[in-house]
Amino acid sequence: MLAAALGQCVAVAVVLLMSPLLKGTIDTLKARVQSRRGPSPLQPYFDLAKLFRKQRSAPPDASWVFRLAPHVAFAAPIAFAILIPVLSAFPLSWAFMADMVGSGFVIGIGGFFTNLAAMDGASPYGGLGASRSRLVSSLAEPTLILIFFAVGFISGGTVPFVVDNVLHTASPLITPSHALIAAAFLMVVLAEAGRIPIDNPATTQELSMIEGSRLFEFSGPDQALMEWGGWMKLFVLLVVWLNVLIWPQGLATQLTVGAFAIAIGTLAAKMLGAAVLIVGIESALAKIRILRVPEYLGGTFVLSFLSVVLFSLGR
Amino acid sequence: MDLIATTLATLVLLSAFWLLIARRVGATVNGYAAQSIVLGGLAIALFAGSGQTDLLALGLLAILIKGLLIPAVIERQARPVYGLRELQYQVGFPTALLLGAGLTLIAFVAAGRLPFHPGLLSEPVLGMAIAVTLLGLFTTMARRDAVVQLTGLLAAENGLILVGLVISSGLGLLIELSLFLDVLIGVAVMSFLITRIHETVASTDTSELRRLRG
Repeated sequence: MLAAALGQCVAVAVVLLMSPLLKGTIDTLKARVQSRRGPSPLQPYFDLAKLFRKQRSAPPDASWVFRLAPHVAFAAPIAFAILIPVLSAFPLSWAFMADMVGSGFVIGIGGFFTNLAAMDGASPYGGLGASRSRLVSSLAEPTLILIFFAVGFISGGTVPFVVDNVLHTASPLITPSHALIAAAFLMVVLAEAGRIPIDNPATTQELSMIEGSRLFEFSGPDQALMEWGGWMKLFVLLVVWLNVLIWPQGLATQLTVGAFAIAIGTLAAKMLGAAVLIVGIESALAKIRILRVPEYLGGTFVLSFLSVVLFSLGR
Repeated sequence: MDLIATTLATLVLLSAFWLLIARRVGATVNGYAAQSIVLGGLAIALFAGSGQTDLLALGLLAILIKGLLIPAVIERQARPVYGLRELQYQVGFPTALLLGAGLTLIAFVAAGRLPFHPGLLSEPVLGMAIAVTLLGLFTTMARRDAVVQLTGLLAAENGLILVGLVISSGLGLLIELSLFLDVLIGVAVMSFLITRIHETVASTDTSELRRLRG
């Protein structure tokens, strides 16, 4: 019991500490692809340290929502990390608190509060970013629900650990319906985490921002929590993609220090692979215009729909 | 074996969706070429599984004629006309994707109703083949530029070849061969016509044809 709780803490700590590294690695690799030297992969840690030392300020009209939002945006991915197989293939103490739909709700709360706070700050860009991020999320919703259906069909359950277990032991690991869900989920992850082709995280052009413009009014520790929360969100969504949908191998199967150490190592290797993939996508594609977002997410809907059809009717 | 065939058929289906929403001539032609090459690969995979040599010939011909020759002809004729311009559409792309998903569902239900004798391919591939045909025909309705309508028809023809593969493991080499040559000549004539029409009236938008009504 105590060991399981400790394992849970290790998983959360891994998410906390490795997510800035993922962001830094993506930035470094992207700079290398563009023939720049780029920042060190450790730069996000320095940024966080700097921001935590700075002064906190808020717009004069902002309410308690504005002060609460950074904490919610920071806590939501951590709570989500408890529900998914970060390091272990077997469920830890709190894993059955919520299934995939519930964990989608948990991660949604963070975005919801970020949007409220962006509008609460009363900056015009905040409102713009909030409404755009609602557009993306609401269009991603049908795809996510279909993905849950498809996963439920294939594995007979929607708790991430159960799904992971079924796919772990499935005999042909890659079937068309499985591959379609994985592709659709990756596209939704890129959209939800504000990456190219939906949003350019490196842009300084306010009018084209989605994610960035929501964070304008935050400063100091608030900004640090917001940005850290955003990196963790990308990290945990990629963990779901890698460990549940793509490649469960390498997760710890018993509760020992050695097994967890191996699991941390394989997770880092998988994340490096995902970082290379994201850098490839972001170097090959440009950000699409905001009015084309429905087409992109319509494409993900078709992929997940085909997956459900193939699995339920195609037998 | 069945897994490879189903995967390749899924790729053919996905490229039919891609043809539905491709914006430029280059993307359309490449989508069609990719679809044909995957279809040829499927026939070759079936040959590897069953040893029927006409499947090998079908696969190689599909790759050669449909995957390389026809795209080259369309590209050569249509590139100067359209360039990098975005092509016109009748139905918006998100709506078209949703309708396409509905057509796929209909195709799968229809395939489930048909009396099916398991041959080299399993039943889901029949659903996908019908879906590719429907999506190709839908592309000709949903788009307004003649060149996309042409590739839509060609995609529908790819779907029919896939139906043939599922139902009777190929229609017989002679029939396939004459079909391929017919299609090749048809494509050459049609893309030549598209170029001429564009030279004369400076547009190949078929919705303009309404003005011809008396």
